[in-house]
Amino acid sequence: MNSAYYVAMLVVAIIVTLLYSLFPIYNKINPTLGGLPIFYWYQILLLAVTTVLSAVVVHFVKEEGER
Amino acid sequence: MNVDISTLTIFIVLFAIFAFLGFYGARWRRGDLSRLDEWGLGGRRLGILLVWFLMGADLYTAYTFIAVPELAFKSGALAYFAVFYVGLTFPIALLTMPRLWTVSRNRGYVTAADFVKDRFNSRALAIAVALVGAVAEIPYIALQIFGMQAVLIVMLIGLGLPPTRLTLDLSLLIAFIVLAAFTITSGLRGAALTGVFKDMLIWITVLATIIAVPLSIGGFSTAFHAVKPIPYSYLPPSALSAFWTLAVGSALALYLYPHAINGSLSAEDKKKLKYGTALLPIYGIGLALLALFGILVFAIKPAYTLSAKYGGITTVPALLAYSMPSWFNGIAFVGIFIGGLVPAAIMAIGSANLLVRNVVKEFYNLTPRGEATLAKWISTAFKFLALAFIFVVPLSYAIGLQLLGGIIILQTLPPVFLGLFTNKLEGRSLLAGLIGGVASGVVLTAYVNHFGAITTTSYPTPLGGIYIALIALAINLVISLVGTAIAMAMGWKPKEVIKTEELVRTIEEK
Repeated sequence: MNSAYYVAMLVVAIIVTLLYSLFPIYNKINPTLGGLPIFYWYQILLLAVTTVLSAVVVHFVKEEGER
Repeated sequence: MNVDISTLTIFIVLFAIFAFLGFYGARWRRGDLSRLDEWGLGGRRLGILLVWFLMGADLYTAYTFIAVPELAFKSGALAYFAVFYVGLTFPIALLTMPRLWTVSRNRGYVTAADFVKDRFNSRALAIAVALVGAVAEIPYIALQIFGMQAVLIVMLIGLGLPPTRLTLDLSLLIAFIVLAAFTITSGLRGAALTGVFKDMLIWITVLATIIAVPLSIGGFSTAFHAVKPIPYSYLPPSALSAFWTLAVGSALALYLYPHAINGSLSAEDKKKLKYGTALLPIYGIGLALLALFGILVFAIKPAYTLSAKYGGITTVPALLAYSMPSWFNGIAFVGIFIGGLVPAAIMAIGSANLLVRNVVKEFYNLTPRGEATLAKWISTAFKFLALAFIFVVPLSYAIGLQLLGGIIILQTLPPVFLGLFTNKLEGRSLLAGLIGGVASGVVLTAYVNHFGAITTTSYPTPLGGIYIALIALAINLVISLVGTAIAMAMGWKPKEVIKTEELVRTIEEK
């Protein structure tokens, strides 16, 4: 389907937004990582998750006419 | 304070190398620089790695080095909205930029306004999109000048100049002159090449510092014990809505800025654009670590004093000055300094491209050479406007400049982003929406700040603070949709100037 790539990427954007919206999970201090409250390390970790999700869609869901 | 003559020497030597690369950029993979798309888009020949570096150069700006740490210093955890924003902005870019790139390649567009003009068959809308884009860059450029100034303040104080008004003005003057001299020489290509050098310096600065500084003060836990848990370790519930809306509004806004679109359109092919963009959130990890400097600084007393004296904008350079060796500070200061310089140059070029192509050329005929010359002069004039902005608009947070730009630029979302997916919107309604959005955004911002210095860009509601950019966008969308519905009821139909196929795949020239 021609629009598969855009649907998949929209899903990534929604997942990322939801993960950053789960305040009860990360808007607190403990558990800490290397002295860093979870508020900070959770959000840094999500950057890596976002990169992987985006790269997977770019790599595996091609647009029409893309090699 | 570890700032001395060796700091200054290393700063000057590295800056000289940087300036040389900037000039060399004009000769590198030689193209005809008198043509605008050569000067402005690097001849459309930049590969995946360079696109990554170039776009990264947009992220490691004074926003990252100065404004976000300043916000962390003053408001704590709220500053991490910038991390959420960076995480979300690249999936949004991947949804929009491949289509914009494709249609631009097929139809020879250089700016978003070129696309809007054909898509909605409206010259007035295109001119408005171009003007709004150019205006929104001004506070963003002003923020870069602020960042360059912050580095120079710390360096001048370290070299023995008293921290007075003179130091401030002198730093600002030097920062501005260097910026104005740099841009005009070699265009985007020079910026791309220096971007590689700059990012090397910046990664050295970020990694060495983020490891060395916490170690020297006994880990992050020391810094977090030195501050109150709320708001420094996590957000008070009342700040959650501001945090969320600032992040989402900024994420939607970034790829509407002329400089971001310009960077995306520079990609050699769509595949490279996609891979390059997908890898960009990695840069956000550096931004996230630098933001923490605003909290680390509380653990080093003299650095804290120096930061507090200048309202937090000198947080990162002050922390470096008191915890790293003086030779290293030469490298780090150059990294931060050109971290403001290169993006400011890219932004000024993007704005100039827009104004020449989509405003001036609508009224006057220009030769390709005349077009390029005019763009160079306009990009210079833009820097003067940015400087004037610093004097005219009083503000208490540097990040307010970027957020103000976001309120304005986000109003171009309906014609540009929605336009990539539908042509069933009516041009005059979109224009009315754009005007309504910008006007309401500016008025609301002035109103919440009591028509004085900009201290906030959030509007208080029963749900908590909401970033004004999103409120103005909602007003904009309502006007655009209602207007279109009325037009349709009166028999308006979209015209098929751009074929759907031209948005989807590259069509080879026959």
